[in-house]
Amino acid sequence: MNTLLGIANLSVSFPLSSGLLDMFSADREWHLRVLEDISLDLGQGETLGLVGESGSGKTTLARAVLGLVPRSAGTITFDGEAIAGRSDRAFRTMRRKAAMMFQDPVASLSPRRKVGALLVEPHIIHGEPLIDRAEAAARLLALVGLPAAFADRYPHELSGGQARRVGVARALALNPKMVLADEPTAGLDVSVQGEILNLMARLKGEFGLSYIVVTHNLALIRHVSDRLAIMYLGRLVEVGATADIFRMPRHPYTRALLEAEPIPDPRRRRASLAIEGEIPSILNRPVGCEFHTRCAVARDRCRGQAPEFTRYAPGCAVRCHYPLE
Amino acid sequence: MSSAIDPRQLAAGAEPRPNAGPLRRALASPMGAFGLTIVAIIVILALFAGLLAPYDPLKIDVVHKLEGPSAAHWIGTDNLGRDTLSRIFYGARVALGVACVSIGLAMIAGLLLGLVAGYGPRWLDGILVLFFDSMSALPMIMFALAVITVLGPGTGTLILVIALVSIPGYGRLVRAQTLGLKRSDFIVAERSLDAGPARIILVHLLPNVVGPLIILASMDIPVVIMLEAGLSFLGLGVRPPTPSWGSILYDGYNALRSSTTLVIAGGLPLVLATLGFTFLGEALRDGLDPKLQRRGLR
Repeated sequence: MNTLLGIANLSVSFPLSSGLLDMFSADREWHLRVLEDISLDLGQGETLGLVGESGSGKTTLARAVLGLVPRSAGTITFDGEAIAGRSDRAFRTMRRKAAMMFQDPVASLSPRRKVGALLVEPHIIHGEPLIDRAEAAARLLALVGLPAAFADRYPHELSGGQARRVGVARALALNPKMVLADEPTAGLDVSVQGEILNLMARLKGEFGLSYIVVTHNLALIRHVSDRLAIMYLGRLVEVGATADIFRMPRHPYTRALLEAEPIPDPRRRRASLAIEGEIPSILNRPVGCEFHTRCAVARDRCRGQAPEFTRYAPGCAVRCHYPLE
Repeated sequence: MSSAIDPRQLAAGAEPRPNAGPLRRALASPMGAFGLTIVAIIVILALFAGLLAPYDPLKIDVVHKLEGPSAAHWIGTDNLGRDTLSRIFYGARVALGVACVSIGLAMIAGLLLGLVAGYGPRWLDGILVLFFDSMSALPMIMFALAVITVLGPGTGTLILVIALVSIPGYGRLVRAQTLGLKRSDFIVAERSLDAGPARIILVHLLPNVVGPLIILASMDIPVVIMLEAGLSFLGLGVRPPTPSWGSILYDGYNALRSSTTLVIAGGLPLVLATLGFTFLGEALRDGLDPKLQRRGLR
């Protein structure tokens, strides 16, 4: 499979303050390290699920890929071209060929513009020829199963599901190769969730899309993704084929995450590795393995030494000293 | 007892519907209605001064100077025998004209500067905030006097001064809103489509920040009317013989020993205009703030 998107050693950090103190402090201590050393590939036509708790950096990773959050280190390669620099200009080609769907479908549409204007905006921004705006908007609406009359509505006049469809239509306006979907089903009721997922699957077939789906909904990701990447505290802890990970998670965190998913059967017992407490503050990362504070199988080594991200098979890797067998 | 009318229901019925438009809500309050009436009258006077004024406001008639109210001159004449009523009508035109033009300029400049400060690079924001702060640190009247001394008095200078001192208020308001919107989903979504800063500022931020500016402007108008009158009173604003409420007041002040009509005639429109615009502005502000809906409008 050809690689469409390559991320290598990507880190994102924000300065904590820009005051006088910075001049006297060691460089990294005053930075909020949101993403640390992420390396990840996305194949052509592949769907990659990005999973983790709130605050694990999933959304930031998706945004950093499109340069919406500046990266502090690492390289991004898209469609055979490395992105040089962090400026908007460097990401111009990529933003034309890759689109993003946002978590809050209504809030991600500019409130004072009509749907029709929003839909043709990608064409205008990228200087694509557009003969008939109304016709182009109607075509995009039809693509996602909305009547052409929606072009005259304002975003606040849409339901969550309708706004989500508009978001999909907008993402597809320029025939992208990759779509980054941030919680594509958040805030939708179950029947609409299903419709959106079917729509996304159909469009994947029609346009040969690759998806990165950011979610914490495991039931969802199990059915849509080919591969999974599990994140914890801004790091990848496990990457592998979805089926393999669900069958046999190797990182204790992955296992705990999978076991936290409710099982629709009252007789089955809750599992052994359940984690407790909150995700630690990113300001105060645990020393050693970052998961050791909540890990059920942590040993002394985990408290002192950070594990490497180790490959054990092609496309599969885990960051743990003692991966589960 | 089924026919008895609950007084609470009556009271509730008299209240505007909670989902009525903000403008209707604002005007349903007695204060808002009063404000709007006065403002409407002043606007009509200013627009149609030429038709409504019984005399040419500049026509000097020394024989009838400083007369009291009469059938010919309803509220008398000034020290040069000019018809005071006509001068008040034309004064409304000056007061409103200066206020609208200068506040309009300040709004446009404040809007653009505020958007650039809020969305642009940090160093530019720093410079603009420094400018806003320094401008508002200057006492308004002292700054006005200084500029007038340099440029010479006149309507143009007056407008320039008022616009300059008003810019920081609008600029800060726009900047604060822009900073709030900058990280919102729809702006990030636009960036993900590679919309440039100009497009984001003009197409997506601008329409979302103008609303509060209008309220601020309506509350600024009385201040500006007073400032114009004050400077014209001192002879530093509108040049004579153009009628201004401030200069009518000044003429009345000089003639105070022989007649009080002129002072009252110059002062009353000022008081009414200030009250009218202030009431209207406050009613608009309360009406646009959904959180104040239930509490009623004072």
